[in-house]
Amino acid sequence: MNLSLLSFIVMGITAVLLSGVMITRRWPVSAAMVLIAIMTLLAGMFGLLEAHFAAAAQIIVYAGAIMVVFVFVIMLLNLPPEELRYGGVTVGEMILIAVSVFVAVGLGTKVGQGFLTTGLESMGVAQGESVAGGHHMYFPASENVKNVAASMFVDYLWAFELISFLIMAAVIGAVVIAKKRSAEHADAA
Amino acid sequence: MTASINPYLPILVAFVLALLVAGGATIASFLLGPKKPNPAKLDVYECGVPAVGTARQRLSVKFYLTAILFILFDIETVFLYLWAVLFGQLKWFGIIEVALFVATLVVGYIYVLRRGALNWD
Amino acid sequence: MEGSLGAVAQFLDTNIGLVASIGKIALALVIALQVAPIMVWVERRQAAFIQRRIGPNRVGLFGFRLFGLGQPLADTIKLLFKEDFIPQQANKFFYVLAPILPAVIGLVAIQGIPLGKEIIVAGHTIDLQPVNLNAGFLYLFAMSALGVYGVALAGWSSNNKYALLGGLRASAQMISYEIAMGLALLPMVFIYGTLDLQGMIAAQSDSLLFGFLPNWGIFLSPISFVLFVVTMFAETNRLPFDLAEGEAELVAGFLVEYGSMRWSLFFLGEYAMMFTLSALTTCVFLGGYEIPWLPHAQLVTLLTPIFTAEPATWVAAAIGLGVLIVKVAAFMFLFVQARFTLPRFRYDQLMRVGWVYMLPVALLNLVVMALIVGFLRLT
Repeated sequence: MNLSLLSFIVMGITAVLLSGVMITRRWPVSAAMVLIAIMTLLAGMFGLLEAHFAAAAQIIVYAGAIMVVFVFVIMLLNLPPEELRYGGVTVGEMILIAVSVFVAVGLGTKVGQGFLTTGLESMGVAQGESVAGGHHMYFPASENVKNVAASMFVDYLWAFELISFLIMAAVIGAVVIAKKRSAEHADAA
Repeated sequence: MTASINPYLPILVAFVLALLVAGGATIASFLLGPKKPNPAKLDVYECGVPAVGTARQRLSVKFYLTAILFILFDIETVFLYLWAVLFGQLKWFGIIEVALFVATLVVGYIYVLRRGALNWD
Repeated sequence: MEGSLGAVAQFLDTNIGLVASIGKIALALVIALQVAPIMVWVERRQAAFIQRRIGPNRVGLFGFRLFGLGQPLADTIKLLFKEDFIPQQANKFFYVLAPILPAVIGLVAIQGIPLGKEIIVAGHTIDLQPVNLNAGFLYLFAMSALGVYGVALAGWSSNNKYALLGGLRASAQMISYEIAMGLALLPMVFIYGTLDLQGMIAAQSDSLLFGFLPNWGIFLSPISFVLFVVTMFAETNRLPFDLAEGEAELVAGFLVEYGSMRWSLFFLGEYAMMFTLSALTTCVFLGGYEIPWLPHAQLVTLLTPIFTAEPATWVAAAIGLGVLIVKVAAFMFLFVQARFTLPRFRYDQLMRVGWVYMLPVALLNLVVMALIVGFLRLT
């Protein structure tokens, strides 16, 4: 058996098991730490599929930046588990759970089928036209960071420029919220 | 098996080895050290006086704001790395594109600066 | 007997990629594990010289003192035999996990550094970068981004006010400087046109700048170099950026409840990260393992008459590793010199420097470099 495929499967199973562990933690910090581990595993899986940029971005942005906010917020609020007691499942939540299970099973079978038929060959020998979009630039799999770049800066030019407005809005929003809260705090104190 | 293996497998090997080293050091120290606990030793350290209150208090919102701003500028940096690898191919088109992107973010940055959100007071 | 030797040779020949990769990882691990004890000794000696003392010079081996070089060994043994207790208020699991994280991350991060160009063994060319990713640059960033958690967890799990504040301050500081760090290195990526560290080193050694200077990154983009070195100090929590540990206000920050081997694991991680980032600087700005004015290929050609073809590449690789370590040692010296020369920042000053000075300067540097490189190459 191919060593890459073996590690891929082991990492995938571990990630799924860990997500079960994550949602059953009592302490939010534990859950956040497990989530970081899952994201790192996902990065490794992207890497094994030769998606170099996705692997790096998964760690730099998700595990290294977004989770920092989660961890900070949890540590700043410092709620003990008693205050986070869960009141039981409501009807709305039951419907949501049913829908999630339905979607998960559907996606699982579809992706699983695809993986079993094409995944075996594509592991380690994942060179193909699938990464090349409509643009004229194409780089081999070992340099596919450049393919991502080409599709972002040529094919999705406008979406990329709009992202800057999204980020600017988020920056302003964060400052407005935090500043308002701290001003209220100062009044109360 | 050929001379070239998937370049991510060595990371996995290195991770396992590093975990063995760090975990081994922890376990060795646990096994070798003496065990003489006493209440004062196990108590929380607060410069020698009895602890006042607990560490589970709410802290400044500044940390949260720093973390949020970090995410946003971090995403920007990651995008710019994509442009940098394709600098030679995108030519002036890419430079102008990125200049517009950065200019928008600089507007946001100046707003943050003007609101004094970056001052720790 | 001959048959089994043949079988071993056969196995090595077919699995050369795997065997070589494990060998490279082991080499990098050994280097990383040596850095911490030696640096502790160097730091104490150098501090002593700055402060006109003698420093640790007693411990020797078999009667030889060698300037006290036995001290690291003695320290390690002492730390192993110290009492290893968990404070009763601590969150046990995370208290134990927290020191392991930075150590593991440091030891894994160092694998992304090219230790040499390549060696040829029995006809197989082996690249000397343990984790040889095409996006090797991003790998090091990713590892350094994960460094926050060891510190934050240590502070939180100790359940001590000083530790929590120290841990949060350290994490906030690390993330604040990470942006300036990323932006400082961006111009280097488009100057060299690659994210591969081997490619960057090759780009620096293949020509001369103005006909006489080595084509090093430090000459191509000096502001990036200065910015990166400053952020490197902040990322590794070293003085003048060691607010997290600030004895005067936070006793020892996130380390306050730690002792024995757990405490030293934090330093193992810190020194491994210092080595990794110094080596990264060396590879990006100072030509990595290459001797100035003498590219690797020329070195091999020079050595071939003396040692025949294959061993010449081994000798060249060993010389390269030596050169890399000398260059990194210069940075280590700088780290220690700064620690005992500069006063510590105040926390608000530190955050201000990161966000209000470093970030705009890094952005401006990026724009100016993009224009310069654009005009030089694209017109």
